[in-house]
Amino acid sequence: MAHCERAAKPLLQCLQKSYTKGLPGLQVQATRAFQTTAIAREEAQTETKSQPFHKSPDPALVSSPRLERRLLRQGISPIGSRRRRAALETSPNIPFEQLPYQCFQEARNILQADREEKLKDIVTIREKIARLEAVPTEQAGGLQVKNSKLVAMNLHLDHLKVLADVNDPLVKKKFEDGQGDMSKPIYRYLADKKWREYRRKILVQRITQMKVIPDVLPHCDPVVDTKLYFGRTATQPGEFVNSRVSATTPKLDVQLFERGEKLVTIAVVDSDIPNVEKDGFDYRTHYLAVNVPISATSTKVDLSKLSSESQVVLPWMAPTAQKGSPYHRLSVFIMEQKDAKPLNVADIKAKETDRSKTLRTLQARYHLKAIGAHLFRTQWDETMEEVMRENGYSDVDMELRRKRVEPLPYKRRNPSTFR
Amino acid sequence: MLQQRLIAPFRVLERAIGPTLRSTQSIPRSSPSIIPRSIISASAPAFSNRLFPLSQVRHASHASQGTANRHSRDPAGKRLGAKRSGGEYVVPGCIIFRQRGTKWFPGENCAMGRDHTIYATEAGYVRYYLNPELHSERKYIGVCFEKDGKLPTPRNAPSRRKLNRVAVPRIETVPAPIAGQSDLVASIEDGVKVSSVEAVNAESGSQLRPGYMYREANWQIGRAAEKAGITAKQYSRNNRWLAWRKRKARAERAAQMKSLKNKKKASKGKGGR
Amino acid sequence: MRLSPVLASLANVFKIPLSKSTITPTTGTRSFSTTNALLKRKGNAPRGDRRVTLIRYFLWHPLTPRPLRFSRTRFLRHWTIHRAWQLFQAQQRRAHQLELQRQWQAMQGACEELRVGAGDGGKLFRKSMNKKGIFRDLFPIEYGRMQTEAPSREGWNHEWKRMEKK
Repeated sequence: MAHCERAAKPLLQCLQKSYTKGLPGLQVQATRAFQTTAIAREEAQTETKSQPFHKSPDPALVSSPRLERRLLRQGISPIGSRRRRAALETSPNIPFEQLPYQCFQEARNILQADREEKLKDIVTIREKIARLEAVPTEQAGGLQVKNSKLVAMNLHLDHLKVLADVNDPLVKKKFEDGQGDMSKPIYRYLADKKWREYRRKILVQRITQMKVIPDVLPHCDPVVDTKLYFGRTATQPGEFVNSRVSATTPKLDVQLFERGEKLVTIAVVDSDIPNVEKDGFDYRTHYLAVNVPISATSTKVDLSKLSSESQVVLPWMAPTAQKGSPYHRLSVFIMEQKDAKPLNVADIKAKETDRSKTLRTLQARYHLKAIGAHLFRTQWDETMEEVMRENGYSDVDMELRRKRVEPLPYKRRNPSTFR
Repeated sequence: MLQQRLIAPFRVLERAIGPTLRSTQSIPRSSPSIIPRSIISASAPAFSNRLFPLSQVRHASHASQGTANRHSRDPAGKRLGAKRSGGEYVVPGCIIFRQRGTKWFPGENCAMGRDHTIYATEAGYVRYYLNPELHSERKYIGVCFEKDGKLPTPRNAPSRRKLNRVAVPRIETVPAPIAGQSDLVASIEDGVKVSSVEAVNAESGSQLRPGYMYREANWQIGRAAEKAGITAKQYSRNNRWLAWRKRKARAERAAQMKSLKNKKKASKGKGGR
Repeated sequence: MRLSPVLASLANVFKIPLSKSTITPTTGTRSFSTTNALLKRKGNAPRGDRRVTLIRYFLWHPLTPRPLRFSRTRFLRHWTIHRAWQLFQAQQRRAHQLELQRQWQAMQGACEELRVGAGDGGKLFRKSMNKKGIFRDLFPIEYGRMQTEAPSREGWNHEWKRMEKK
């Protein structure tokens, strides 16, 4: 007993110090773990104070069916599963940071000390930035020097902000539960890391292996996480989508991992329209919208809900594939507009009436930069004929057949050596 | 008579060896003669061994050196190498280069076969080139659409492809409804049993079947017992008596088959000699 | 007998076998399996990937230690401690690095002072930089004491006194 007490003393002190800020009830519960004697007395005291449990059952703790039924009759449904409630009922229910484990608490002390230091660093670098901004450009050594210094310091500031919170177990827990607040840099950092670990790799592989990157655009480095939904089902990059499904306008979920708001242009391009006269392939823009605002917190973009006056240039056109043609790659590109300035929609609408223009010309004309991409494919299926008829395609009744290859004429080469 | 004469000297031998043998081995024997006929036959191979003491033996070291002929040292050429030179016109499937390993890699509009043969996938003109953007070391063979075109194309340029298809009026291919289930086609959906599947043709009796035989379908043959009302007993794990009987019967049958086989062999051996 | 999906899932949870009631009884004919007869035959069954088989063999081998499985909070605590330990080590490394840097710079400063500030034209500095005889006439420091298999239990001989000169 003496050993135990001596070992637990600093921890207890620390706990009690932290409890002075917290609830008084908590203190009683947590200290109980270290005292074996006074439990009964204390419990008796608390019991007499509050109502007995069966009179007013707590919906988060109730586990017996009878009490559950009574709660349900009152119109309150119990929270969580019965197993969870039973576990919670018997546990002391201490908040995670105050769990009485010595090593854990020591670790928390170290992490918190580090965090304090990081916060101090943040304050100093902010002061530094403010000082540099106050200095006139001539004294700072020219505009370029000053700007590069400022950019570097801001980057360091962002890094410090992430470092201050990256070791917090509760931040990790919140992020894993999907409750992370994307307006905070730490959650954006974690989400970006997670995206780059797997989903971005898959996306980049698909768009390069299926040759979308040299075919549609010369280069693309995705920095935003893009998800594509037809109805409620998400489409994997490069998946074959049924023509009936893809006739409806899709929804996008564009997750930005940077601070601030961006204006983007969204384009959906089919790069495999067969052209028999040319014996080659054409492009067709299936959708084009400009001035779509995107930020880290507002990610949902419903392509059918964008305003047709100020945003949509070319409305959605059902992707089709003629029978016998090789599969069509429909690539979705999210392109950042320069300096987050809105484009003039009326001008663009007047100019971009032709759907067969390539995305390269568009990119060059409006100084766009591709920051996100997605890809799905279409091919001839059972419902394709109906879809093509509904949308008034002319080539429904034509089918593509492989051209016969004329063999090379037989030529006997240098017959004298064969004898 | 001959036997008698042969045995006679052995009798003498027997007399000489006999006492010692008896003293050492002391094996109780029913017959007084210790030299049965088998000894005569047993002594024969020893005799022949002495006649040909140096039989020919070929050790592995000798065989592995091979023969001294030219064909063993110098196999036939495999006709590797370039089949089409740079700038020549090729059609899809045309072999451009035969090689062992990848001396050349397939570039644009080319593919590599199972034995690393490089062949064209598009009609065009052959180019042999290097592509430092893709790989610093590798040599590529590609097919270019124009006679004076250049390879490699820049990395960011859109790939040049050909459709190679013609447009013809679309013919609707309606899958013909399957008229009558003839052979066993079981659908495993719940509730559908084989017995409930329509079997029109099969009921009509024997038909010409694979193997040029007029016979019933296999599944009908298989259900003959069911038609005749013969039912097998349900298998029960605990019925050890039945299991023992079955095992016994199987063992008996196996023994029978084995003995038959041995007889056959023996008769064959006799016939051969 | 058809069960409602709720009941069926409950039965699944409590491992109540429902096979007899849910599967339609097959009378007379035996139910046909979906496995190809050729595949079912001995030795013809698909073997699968050898690598996967081997991984599975070693993963589930009784000598393989069991995987580290923690509850949510336990894992978070583990993670906290791990991060703290990493951070602590990094801090120690950094402190060590800084100390070394400080020492080196102090030495550098002293040398510079000797070279410039001594007033003898840097002669003393040059002498001190002379490496002649440093590693020649000395013996390695570890030979200064008796070589042993393991360090001594005390680690220090407190009773040792320098021998008195007579």
